[in-house]
Amino acid sequence: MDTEITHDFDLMKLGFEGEQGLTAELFLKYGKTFEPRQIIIREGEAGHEVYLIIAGKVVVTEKIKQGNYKVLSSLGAGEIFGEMAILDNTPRSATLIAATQTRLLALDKSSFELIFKTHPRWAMKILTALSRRIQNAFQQLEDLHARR
Amino acid sequence: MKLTESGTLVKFRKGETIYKKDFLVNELCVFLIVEGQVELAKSYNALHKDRFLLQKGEVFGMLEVLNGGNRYTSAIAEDDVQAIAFTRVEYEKNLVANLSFALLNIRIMSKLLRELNLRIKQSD
Repeated sequence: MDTEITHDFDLMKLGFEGEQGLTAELFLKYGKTFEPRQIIIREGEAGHEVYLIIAGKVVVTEKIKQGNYKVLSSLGAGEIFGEMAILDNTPRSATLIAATQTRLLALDKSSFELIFKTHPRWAMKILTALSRRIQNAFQQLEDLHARR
Repeated sequence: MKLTESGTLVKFRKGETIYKKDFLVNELCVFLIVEGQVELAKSYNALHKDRFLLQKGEVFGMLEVLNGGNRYTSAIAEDDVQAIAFTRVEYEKNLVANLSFALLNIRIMSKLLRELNLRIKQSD
């Protein structure tokens, strides 16, 4: 296993200010790397993991037809996705695809909760990222209605 | 779920506006519903309005606290409502100190995000 982790990701966004070693340790334990265009989760599937983006870009898509996906939004370092599957046991609501080479922490419910307990500032970071996505969604709706 | 910072118990009558869209965030800014239901309403124009109904045990008001800025939506008491109201500091302390409260907030915000994304798909 490669133990030399380079820290090109935004540690401030992840709430790990000054704790690069710890982040590397988490990546060794829970890390996954996806190549560009690789599907991370598929709409409709059951899921058991929540993903935290360490580095790279992920696009949220809707399947239009066989092999074609429409991009709805994009996510970057410090953002999570797939959380509803572990919090509410609901199927995945969209297909998420790596837009660039992407490094993630893939956490099952107990690991997710354990990290929250150990690093409580994560909650603030994750909720702030979620609230930005909600703000963007409201803005998209405003723009859509303004065009009518 | 025991909250380390207890907040302030507040009451609203049915139909009462708890806060209005575009208004500044008050000192007591995040609410945990203890009794009743609350509607979050967002008007886009004279014809289009979105409504999101929140139940006992759910939290609202946190979006603007986390993101800064004025209220995105209005909040109206659907019934007689009792809620625990938190200041920004109390809310953040509870998020950090209480795993259940943090997960509750993530669940509510994720649910709202899913509903919004669905409405975007339907409107597009």
